Amino acid sequence: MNLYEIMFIQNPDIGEEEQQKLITRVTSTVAKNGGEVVRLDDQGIRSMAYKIEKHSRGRYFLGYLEGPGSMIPEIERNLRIDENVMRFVIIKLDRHVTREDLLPKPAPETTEPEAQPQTTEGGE
Amino acid sequence: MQDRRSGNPRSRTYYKRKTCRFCEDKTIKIDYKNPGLLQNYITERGKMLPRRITGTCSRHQRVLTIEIKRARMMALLPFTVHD
Repeated sequence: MNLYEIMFIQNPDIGEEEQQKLITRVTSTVAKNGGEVVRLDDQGIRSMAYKIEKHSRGRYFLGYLEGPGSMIPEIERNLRIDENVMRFVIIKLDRHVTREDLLPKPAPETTEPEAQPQTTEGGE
Repeated sequence: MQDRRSGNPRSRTYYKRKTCRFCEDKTIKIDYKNPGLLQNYITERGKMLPRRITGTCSRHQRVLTIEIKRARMMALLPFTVHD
């Protein structure tokens, strides 16, 4: 069993209902493939450094998963299918990181992008 | 760092040895989720700064590279900034 960090950006314009649906879909995919969602937090709508799919803002989610490596391709496939997911990244965490490190307090690492300059829009 | 001798020995420039910030303070975690920190290692135009400018050691520069690229993918940092 490994620990993974997952971050994805969701379309900010979709309603509460769609949003909830997406989260349940992620959770169920993880569960179906023998994993477990340790945490999944909504980090709110943030402005992005450049436009993605013509959106300049996005709703960021940060979560942690535990499970076998075989679940990852399936999760990625599902996130790719979902039109409301604009970007995602899944990172395997260090072996020293334990589940307990991730669980309790609302994480000190949720640093706000201080002094993030307003970048001009445009492609990559 | 060896001093670079130019023609005139009097006009030799001295460099202050730069040290790697992440070696000095091991509590700093290089993380793509912290764009404020990574901002210090890119130019105004969004390009990554070379080691010789920032003084980062090769090991931490490697980590920086990965994290900056991740941050770019997640739109936390720009790929490029144009006017």
